[in-house]
Amino acid sequence: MKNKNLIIYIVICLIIIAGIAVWEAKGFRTEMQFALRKEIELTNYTGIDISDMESIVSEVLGNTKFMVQPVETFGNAVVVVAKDITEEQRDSIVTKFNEKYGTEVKSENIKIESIPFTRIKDVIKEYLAPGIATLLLVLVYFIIRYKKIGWKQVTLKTILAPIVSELLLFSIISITRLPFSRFIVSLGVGLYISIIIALTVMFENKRNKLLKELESNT
Amino acid sequence: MKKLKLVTKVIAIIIICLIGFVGIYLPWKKPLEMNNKIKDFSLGKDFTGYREIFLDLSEANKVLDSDKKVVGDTDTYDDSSIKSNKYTKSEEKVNSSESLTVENYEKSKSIVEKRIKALGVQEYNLSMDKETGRIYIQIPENSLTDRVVSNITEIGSIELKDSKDSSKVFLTNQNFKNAKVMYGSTTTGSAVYLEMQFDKEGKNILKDLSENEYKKIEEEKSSSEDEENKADESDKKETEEKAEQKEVTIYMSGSEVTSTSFEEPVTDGKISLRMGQVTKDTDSLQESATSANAVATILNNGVMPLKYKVAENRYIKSEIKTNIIRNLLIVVSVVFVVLLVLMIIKHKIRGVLATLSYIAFVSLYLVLLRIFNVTITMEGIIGGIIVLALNYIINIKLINIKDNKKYYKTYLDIIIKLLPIFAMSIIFVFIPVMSLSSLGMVMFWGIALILAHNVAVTKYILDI
Repeated sequence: MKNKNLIIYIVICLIIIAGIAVWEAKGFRTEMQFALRKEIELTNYTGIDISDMESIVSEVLGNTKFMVQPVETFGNAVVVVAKDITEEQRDSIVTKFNEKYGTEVKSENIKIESIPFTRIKDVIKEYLAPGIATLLLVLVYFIIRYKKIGWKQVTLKTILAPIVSELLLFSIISITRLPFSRFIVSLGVGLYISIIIALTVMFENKRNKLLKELESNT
Repeated sequence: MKKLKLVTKVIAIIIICLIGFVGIYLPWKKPLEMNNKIKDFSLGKDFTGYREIFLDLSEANKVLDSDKKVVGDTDTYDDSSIKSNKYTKSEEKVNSSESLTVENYEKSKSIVEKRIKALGVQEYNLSMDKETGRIYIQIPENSLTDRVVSNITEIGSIELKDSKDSSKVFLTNQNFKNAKVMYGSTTTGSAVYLEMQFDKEGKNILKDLSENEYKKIEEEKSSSEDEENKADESDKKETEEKAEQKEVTIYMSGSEVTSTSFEEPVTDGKISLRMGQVTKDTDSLQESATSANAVATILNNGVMPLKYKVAENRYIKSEIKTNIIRNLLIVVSVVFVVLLVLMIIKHKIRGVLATLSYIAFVSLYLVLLRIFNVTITMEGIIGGIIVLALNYIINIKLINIKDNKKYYKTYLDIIIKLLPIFAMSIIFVFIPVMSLSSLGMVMFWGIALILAHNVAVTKYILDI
């Protein structure tokens, strides 16, 4: 059992080290919502079908990942967002748009807006202070309630478990080049909650076991 | 009798499920029009959409009056108004080339972020281009949005100047401490005031100004050419300027706000500006208070080192398409259906009853989230999945207990195990970050319902 645990710990450490190394070398891959991207807005008077626009943009941009999102609520404006939109690509999109909707939009009037990338630390920083604060409160509760288990063991596990699990999650994302997105952030929060639940159950069961042993000895 | 009891229980569960999944439809104003009395889900900006704002550095030139004093810039004054006011357009830009540094861009971004948070926005994305200084903002579309957009680019400077000679600046942001909104009542009604507090030096200046004296102390350092007298000698020359009733003008972000001559000495370092009219109308008061809060927010969060303008401001519908949410819900539902089927297979009749109880739980949970207007974000959905998983595990624990005493003992054990996470969810509710407060609310109601449901409904259905 001890050997099995040791192997698991070694594997976890290796994954984390590898993850940090990949992150240092390449950083995280990000979803378009956080990446540096370009955007153009197109409007008409008659209304724009999103799937039609997606076909038009797909013809021009090919395999480049893009999004077509409605602007306002009138159904006659969209933004096309992609990692890069060159002037030639913009001109092609405008030409096909004019052909589709019978409009006379001029390419030179359509500005390619550059949207700066969002730093991942700016996304995560909102979660750090509440996470640390709640962890400390939970730690105090655990130390008081599970003093029979030993405060050192309780403290070590309570602090290490969430940190190691979050590092493991981000290492896996880094190594597998999964794009960092809002979903990954919420997954990280869910993982933190689950770890606290698991720690509570583990400590509570251990405490009950110790109490039973104490009772049977007396 | 037993069969009747079972049928009654099943009918009760079905009614609860119908309310939760379908709703309560009652006649709306017109007789043939039905309206669901249970509100729809409140969704966060991840699922609905957001306001997208581009802030670009202003390329405006300063505009001068006939006395060559700065009255504004070409963002505020167009050519016709410059001509009609007999102003001139200066060659000097509002943002000098020396001020266009990465440090100033970062400082501007930081101040914009503080203002967004202070104006009550709980969900936002903010990014900045270090080369151009462009700031990109995404905020939810709601009643706060337009107010945020109109206030985030304000410079935030405050100056108290001599009304007769605007080159004499008595107080600036360096002396400013903070601003807050106060209410004052008179016999004719109430009014909203913006109270500005200045520091110790500012307090003394205000006292002197309001007591009709303004002492100007000049220090002259003179040094002797003689080597023996090289030790520092400073001569203090004190000149006293006795002013008449001092009238001062308050400027905010370069614009004149009001002029005042002090009715009585100001000894506490505070100036109060009335915002709006004295009124008994609560809506007008509320509007004045909202404006005053916005001004206080701008003043309290620092002076922008650069002038920005709103280059683009539009509402974008979410990129998370409804079919993605639908697919996620389908996957989660399939997983839980499989787990419930396994529960039925393993525990037979009691498994069926526990499954019915579980379905009733899901239905009540959805109703609670809608009634209490819980905003659903990504984190909220994750929290909901955790709650559903917890309830499933608890049902498995309780399903085979037939003894009342043992049931309550196990139930108490469950309460103790849920306590830390319940406390955490309460803390998250009060954090001014939408994703975390959504998670907190979802988990709070989920855990509260788990505790109530398993003693009221599950126990009743399992007939313990």
